[in-house]
Amino acid sequence: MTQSLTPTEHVILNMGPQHPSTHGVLRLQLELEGEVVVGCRPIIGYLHRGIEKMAEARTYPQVLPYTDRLDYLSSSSNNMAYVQAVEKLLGVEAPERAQYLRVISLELNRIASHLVFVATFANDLAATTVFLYGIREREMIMDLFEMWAGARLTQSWIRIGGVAQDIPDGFVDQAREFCRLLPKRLEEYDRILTGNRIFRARTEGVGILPPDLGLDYGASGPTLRGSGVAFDIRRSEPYEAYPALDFEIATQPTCDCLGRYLVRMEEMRQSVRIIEQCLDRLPEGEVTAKVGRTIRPPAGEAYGRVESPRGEFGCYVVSDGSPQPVRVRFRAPSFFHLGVLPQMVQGWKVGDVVAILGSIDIVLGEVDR
Amino acid sequence: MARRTNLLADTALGAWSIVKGLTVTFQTALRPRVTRNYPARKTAISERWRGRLVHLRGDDGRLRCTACLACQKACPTNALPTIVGDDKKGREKRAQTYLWDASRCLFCGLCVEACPFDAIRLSQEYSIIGEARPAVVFELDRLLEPEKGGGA
Amino acid sequence: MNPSLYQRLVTWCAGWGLPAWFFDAVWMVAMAAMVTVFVLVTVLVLVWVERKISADMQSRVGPNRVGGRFGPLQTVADTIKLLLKEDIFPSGADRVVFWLAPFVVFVPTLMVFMVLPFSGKWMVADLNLGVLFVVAVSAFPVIGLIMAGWSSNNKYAILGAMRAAAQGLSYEIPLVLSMVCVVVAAGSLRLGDIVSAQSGGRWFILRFPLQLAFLLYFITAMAEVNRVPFDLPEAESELVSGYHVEYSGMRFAFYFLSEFAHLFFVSAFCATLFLGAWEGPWLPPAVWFLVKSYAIVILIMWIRWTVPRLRIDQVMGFAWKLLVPLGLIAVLLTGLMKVRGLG
Repeated sequence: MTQSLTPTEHVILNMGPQHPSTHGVLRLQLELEGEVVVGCRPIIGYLHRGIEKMAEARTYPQVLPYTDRLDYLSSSSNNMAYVQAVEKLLGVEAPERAQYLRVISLELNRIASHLVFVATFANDLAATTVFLYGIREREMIMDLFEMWAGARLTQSWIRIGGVAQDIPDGFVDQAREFCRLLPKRLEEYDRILTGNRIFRARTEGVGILPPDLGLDYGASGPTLRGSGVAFDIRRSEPYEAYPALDFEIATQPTCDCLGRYLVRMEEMRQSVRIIEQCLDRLPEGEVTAKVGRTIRPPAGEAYGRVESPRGEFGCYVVSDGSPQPVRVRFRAPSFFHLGVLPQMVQGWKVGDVVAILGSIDIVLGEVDR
Repeated sequence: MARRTNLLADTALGAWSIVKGLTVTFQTALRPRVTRNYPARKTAISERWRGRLVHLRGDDGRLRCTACLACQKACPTNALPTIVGDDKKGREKRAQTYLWDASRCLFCGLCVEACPFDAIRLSQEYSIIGEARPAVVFELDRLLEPEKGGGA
Repeated sequence: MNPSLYQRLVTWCAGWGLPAWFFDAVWMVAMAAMVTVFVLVTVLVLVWVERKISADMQSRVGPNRVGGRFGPLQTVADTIKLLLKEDIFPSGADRVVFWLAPFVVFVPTLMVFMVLPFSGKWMVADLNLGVLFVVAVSAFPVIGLIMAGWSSNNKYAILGAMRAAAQGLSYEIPLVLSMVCVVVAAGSLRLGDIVSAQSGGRWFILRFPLQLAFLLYFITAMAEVNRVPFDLPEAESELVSGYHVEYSGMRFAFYFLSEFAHLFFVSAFCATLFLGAWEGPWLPPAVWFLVKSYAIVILIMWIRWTVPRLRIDQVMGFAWKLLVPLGLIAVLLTGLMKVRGLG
């Protein structure tokens, strides 16, 4: 841009807490030169509910429903991370059937979360119809959750020692039906969105996240895999039934919004594969280990990490031998992705901010806790 | 010349991709709707739905609850501030008041699991409405078995 | 209107002691009222059509309560709701411009309906400069958008206004070029002549090279009406309503109304220029006109609910780097065809 003789100023624009496209109550203070972003400052805390502090005054089982509400789009991942940490402290391992059921829950949550991603990403780019398609598919998953846990979103189904209840009759058939239907719907999304020239123009080459920058900032999950780094906790530190399962890790080398979108689309297909394998191999047995009425882990600390749909979701638990934890700390992937967001939007336009923010798929529930 | 051909090809492919998208919306318009005309027609709620709390009665017609307060201790949010007291006969412990605070309840079901007598369950009622906070603190008269069918 | 009928009506007015111009005045007011009523009813219908079509494509039902199972009176209910809303003036807004902007957007949109040929006899004014009139008056609403954005004292509104200015201006040129193709093919700016040049089923869209002009007109018309993929001035997911973010109640209704009125107008104009306006077998001409206009409207809506939105620099690039050259090529080809007597 040539130097202009007219004096100009940068405009500070608040993509305020109330905005159709900040996924939750996020405030982005953008410094604009015309339509070009020269600075971005995320301001968070609008959804802070003090979950970590409340956890210090609750017993271990009582903390579990609160973990649902962190990354509320995939509550099982949060449950899993917390339960993993507590089970490490207790030295308890869930029975095999429970492990397979947990994997089914985690993968269904992954698909549900990615469907919300596709829906909201498309909605931010004004393809409103795809939003409703994504939500329509997600309703099938919600029906499955309602069937086995009694709640659509905050299932609290993964418990310390296993899962809350065994799956009801008819669940396996309905889940298989869903696994049969979803790839066809994903193919529809490809036709209406992925191949669409306008969608490509909005996402291809936009919002580059160089892999080393991502690693520096602690990015993980599809945000990092969209930059070509094949890091997946299900492979690097497998948990539950994952070591026995056969699936691929989706990566894209392009580092742009389109890459992250394609990674998530492929992950949905891989999740379907995982769920079908689990349904085929579901062993008989107990669904929960004996953990006793009061959960009193020995003094110590443990860190549980899972591959949530957003990245590495971790839970650090410090115990002093009492029924209540001393400290529970959640490592939320969206928090770190927000940290790298200012560098990703630098130099792009206002419209791109929306696309880039959508592509890193944050949930303010886990950012603010 | 090569660049101009690429532009034409690019434009043609772009236009074709938009046409493909149009076919998807067209096909969806021909399929039946997935929405339901609520409240005229309601969806069936699953058996395990975690809705309004219900106090259950035993075969003798009395409430199974013995005010052991296991549910109160299990609840993360103190949504069951039941007050223990003796009943008039003084022999068995019964609660003086049965309270369930719907505004605090997370509908997590930990209370149901904690109860050693199977005295409570979460029903399929999901429509819990009150115009002021006292209206959503339920006493025993509103904590009994709901009408068949679930919903409101 | 029939000259002898006109004379008799003027004489009849004179018989009552009224001056000669009285009848003219009454007639003009009556025409304006009819056009306004037609536009309002059309907007009512169009909003309902948009909601129903978008619902169909999204596996939903759309309005289904007000006025029966298909909810035809939903728009009436919404308009009443908008009328009852509080009239908000944002603090720091330029009151005069803020108040004036909706009118600058709405009135020209109404005015262009004067030249639409609903049928051979039903036309308010068959101006000799029909096409030029349309081009000139259609450029006004953009000024209204800029006024709205500027006067709102809101950064989002200004962004929307700037985008509206850039987009509106850029897409005027390919729009005019596509119309020039039709004018060259018909040999006249008068809409009546353009329709008669297509008489007998020889619609312009079927005659090479006017298919290119049709495509061009279609795309630029969507841009002029600010419909997705060109709805940047009011990009909901980026600018939370863009230039009319601070408007509420009836003032907002004006923008809404004028957007749909303009949408109908460009579709009807497209039908006039390329699809032979009211020509067609067995149905009455006015019905044919409406059928063709609504066909284009539904096509525009179909596209609106399918594709995402472009970014502003992509919109500009598309206009200047692709559409303007295409427009010039179209004019050249049309001229060649005309000179060689073909098409």
